[in-house]
Amino acid sequence: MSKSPPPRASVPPQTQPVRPLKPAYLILGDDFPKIESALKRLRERIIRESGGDLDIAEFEAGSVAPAVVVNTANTMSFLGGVRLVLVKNVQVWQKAEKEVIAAYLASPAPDACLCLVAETLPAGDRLRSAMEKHGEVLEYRAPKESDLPRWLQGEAARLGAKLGPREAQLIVQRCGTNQTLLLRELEKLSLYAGEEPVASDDIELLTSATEEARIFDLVDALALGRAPSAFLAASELLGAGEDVNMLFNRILRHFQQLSRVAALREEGWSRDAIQTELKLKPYPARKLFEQAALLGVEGVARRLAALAETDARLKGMSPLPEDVELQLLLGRLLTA
Amino acid sequence: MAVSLYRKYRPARFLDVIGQEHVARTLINAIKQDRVSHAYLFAGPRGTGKTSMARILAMALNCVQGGDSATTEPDGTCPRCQAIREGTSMDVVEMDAASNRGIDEIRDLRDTIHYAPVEGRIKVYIVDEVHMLTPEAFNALLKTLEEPPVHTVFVLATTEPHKVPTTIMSRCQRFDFRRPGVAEVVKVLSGIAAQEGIEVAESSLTVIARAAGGSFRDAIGLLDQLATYAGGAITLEQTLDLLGMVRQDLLFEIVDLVHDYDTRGALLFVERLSDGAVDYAQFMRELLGHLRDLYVVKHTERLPGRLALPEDQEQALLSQAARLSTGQLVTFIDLLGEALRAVRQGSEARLELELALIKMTALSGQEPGLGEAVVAREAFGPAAAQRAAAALGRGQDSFTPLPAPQAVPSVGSETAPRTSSQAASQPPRPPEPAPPASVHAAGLHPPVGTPATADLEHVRRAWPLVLEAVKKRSVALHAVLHEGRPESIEEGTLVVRFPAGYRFQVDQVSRGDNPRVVAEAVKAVTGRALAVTARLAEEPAEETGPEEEGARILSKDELIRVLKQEFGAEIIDEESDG
Repeated sequence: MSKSPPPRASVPPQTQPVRPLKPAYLILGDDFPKIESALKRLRERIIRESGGDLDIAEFEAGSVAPAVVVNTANTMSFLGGVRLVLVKNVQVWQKAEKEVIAAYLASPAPDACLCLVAETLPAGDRLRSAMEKHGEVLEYRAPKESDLPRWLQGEAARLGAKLGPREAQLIVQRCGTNQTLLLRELEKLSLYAGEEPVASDDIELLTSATEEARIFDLVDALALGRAPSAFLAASELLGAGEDVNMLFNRILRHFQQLSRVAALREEGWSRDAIQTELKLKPYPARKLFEQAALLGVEGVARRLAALAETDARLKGMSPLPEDVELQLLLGRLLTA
Repeated sequence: MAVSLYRKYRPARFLDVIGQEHVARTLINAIKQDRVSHAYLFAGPRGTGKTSMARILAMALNCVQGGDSATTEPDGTCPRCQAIREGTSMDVVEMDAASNRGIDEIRDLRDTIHYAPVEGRIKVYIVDEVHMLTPEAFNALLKTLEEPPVHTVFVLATTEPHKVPTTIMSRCQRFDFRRPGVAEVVKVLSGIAAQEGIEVAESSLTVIARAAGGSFRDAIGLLDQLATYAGGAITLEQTLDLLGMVRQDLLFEIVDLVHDYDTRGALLFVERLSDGAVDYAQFMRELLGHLRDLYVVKHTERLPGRLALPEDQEQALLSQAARLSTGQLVTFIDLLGEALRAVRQGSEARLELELALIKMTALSGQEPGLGEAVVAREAFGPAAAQRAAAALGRGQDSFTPLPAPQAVPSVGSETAPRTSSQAASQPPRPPEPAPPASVHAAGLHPPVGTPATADLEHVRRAWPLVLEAVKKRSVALHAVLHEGRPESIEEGTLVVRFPAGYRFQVDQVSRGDNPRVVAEAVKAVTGRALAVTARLAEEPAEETGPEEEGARILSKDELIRVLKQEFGAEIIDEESDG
C-alpha cells in the first residue's frame, strides 16, 4: 500500500519566495513561532533548491567559536547542493567574534547559507550592519502581552477556528504568554470545536492551566468565597505536585497584599493611587481593589489571623498531614 | 496462560476509553481533518488510559481499514492492529523512560527514526514516564521533536507533567487525562464482571473502585485478584478482607454515633470492630479521610470529581455533612489527628481510638472551635467549653456577651452534682442568655460574692484559651501576651505578670485598647468580668513553665470534692490507713 503521511497541523503552505537565496540571513526577534516558521521555510527552500536531503550544521553561539562556524560554511557540502549553517543565540558573541563572521560575509562560500538567530542586536552592531550589506535581516517581534488575545484570534482564523475576544482572553489567562504553547493549545481547541465557535467550557476542559493561573484561581476563589472553585484549584495544584508550604505562602502573600489595599482603600485612596503606590499592574490592581471592597479591613484581618494559625500548625503544631491542614485552612478562609 | 482482565479488556477504540472523551474527540477530529500532530503529550494519573489511547492512535494511523489514510475506527483485528495490541509491531516503538532515561537511549532512537515504517503508514514512538529522562536526554529528544521525519508521530506519556521542560511541552499537543470518579470505575467493573460471569455486589465494586484511587488498571487488577481469591461469588467481606479496608457504612455509622453524642454506642462500636479483627490504625486513617470528605462537601455543597460516588453513597455523604457543623468536623479531624500521632509514637491504636471517640462524643453537641473546647471541657465542664467554642469559633470583630458565669461548675462552688453518664450522654444545654454588656462593662467589677482566688484559678486554667481568643483579634497582641502569666486578681483587676526584662511586652499589653481586648477575651472564655493590667516582675523570677503554673496538684480532699461534684462520685468504702 502507498504510504502517505498525514499533513502537519501547524502552518499552511506559505507563498513561494521569488527572490534568490541569500548567502546569509540574520533572524532577530522574540516571536518564536514566526522564527520557527521562517526557519522551516528556509530549510524547505534549501532542500527544494538542492534537490536532495538537507545538509545542515547547527550550533549554539555560546558553545562554538565563530572560526568553527566559518570553517563549516567554507567546507564543501558532502551531499552537494547548499549547506545550511545555523547558529542560534548569536547575541552572546563579543565584538571580536562578530568581526570574524563579518569578515566571512564579505566573501561568503557560494554553496553555503549562513543563518544567524538572535533575540536582539542593536542598530549599529557590526554583525547586523554586515548582514544588512551582504545578506538579509528579518525581524519578528512578539506581540505585547495585552495584544496576545488579538494575536490569538488571528491565528485561530488562520486555522479555520472561530474564537471570540473573551475566549481568547481566557486562553491567555489560563495558559500564559508563551506563544508556542498558546499555538499548541489553539490547535487542540480548533480540532475539538470543529465548525462550532470555541466556547469557554471547551477552554476549561481542554487547556492546561499554568501553575500561575491555577494559583490565581485559588486565591481569587478564596477571596471571593467560592468554595467549590477553591477546593478544586487546590486539589489540582496538589495533584500536580505543588508543595503545600509553597501554596500556603502564595495564599498568605495574596492576603497580605489585600490587607494593604484594604487599608489604603479605607483611608480613601483611589484605585489608581493604590496601583501606583503598591506598584501593581492594572489587572491585579483591579482585582485586589474589588476583593478589598468585598471583604473590608476587618474581613481581611480575620483571614490573616486564620493564616497565622495555620502557619503555626504547619510548623509542627499540627498532628495532621499537611494537605489536610491546607484543606482546613481553605475552609477557615472561606468562612472567616 | 490466562490473559489478565486488564489486558483482555484494554480499550481498542477511541470512545472505549472511559472518562477521556475530550481527548478522544480531538484525536478523532484530527484524523478526520488530516491534522494529526507530530507530537503529543499525554499527562495524567496512572491507570487513566494514556498508553491505551496512544496505542489506539497508533492503530488508527496504521489500520488496514483506513487504506491509504488513517481511520477513526480501527478494527482491532487486522494484523497491524493485532501486532500493536500485542506489542509486537515493528512500527510502534514503546519505550519506558524510567529505565531508559539516558542520552544514549535517545540517540539510539534518533538513529532509527529516519527509517520508514515497515508495514504501516506511520511509525509511532510511545515514550512512557517521559519526565524521567535526564536533561541531556531531553535536549536530544528536543532536536528530534523540532524536525521529526514526516512518517513519525511521538506520544510522550507522563504522570508528572510539571517535570517536563517547557521546550518539550511547546512542541507537543498536550492532553490532560482526568482521574475517573468512583461511579465511572464501578460502571466499567460492572461491565467486565457481567461479561466474565463474575458474581459481585455493587458495594464490593465500590470498595474496589475506592481502593484503586481512580486507576482503571488497578481496579480491574483487583477485580481479577478477587475473582481468583473468592472462587465463586465475591462478597463484600471478602473484598474488605483482601483489601484491608473498612466498610463505608461503618464510617457513616461511627460519625452518626459521635454526632448523637453516644459515648456508650461509640465504645460498643469499637468493641464490635475488634470482632472483625480490624486494624484500628487503618480504621482511624479511613475515618480521617471520611471526615475530610465531609469537610470538603460541607463547603462545596457538591461532590468534587475526585469524590464522585454512586448516587446512594453521594446522598449519604451530603446528608451526613449537612447534619454536622464545620466546627464539629474540624474538631473531630483534629482529635483524630492527635490520636494518629500518638499511635505513630507507639501508643496503642485501640486505646487512642476510644479516647478520641469519647472526646468527640462529649463535644459533639457543643459546636466547638478548634479543639480548644476540649481543654475547656476538661478544665471547667461543658458550659465553659460552650463559651470557649463560641469565642473561638465566631472570629467576630468583638466578643459579644456569653453565658453567665454561674453556669460554670468550679472548685469550691456548690453546683449540683451530675453523673458521669449524664455528662457523656445528655444533650448540651443551650447557652443561657446573657445581659448585654457594653465595652466598659467588660469586667471592671467581678460578680458579687465570687471569691477572687477561685476566679484566679479559673483564669489560670483557661489562660491558653484566653490567648487563643486574643489571637483571633490580634496576632501581635497575642505574641506579646503569651509571655505573661495571670498572677493575681486585685479588686476586680486581673494582674498579668511578665518576667523582669519584658518591659516591651508590658508596654504593648498596656497600650491603647489592648487591656480591653484582653479583658473581653477573659470574659468570653471564663465568664469572669475582670479588668486587666500588665505588670513587670520586680526581680528576675525563677522561670516557671506554664504547665506548672496552670496545673495545680489538688489535695486529697479537694480531689474527692471535685470527683463528687463533677462526676457524682460517692464514697462507698473509706480506705483505712492500716
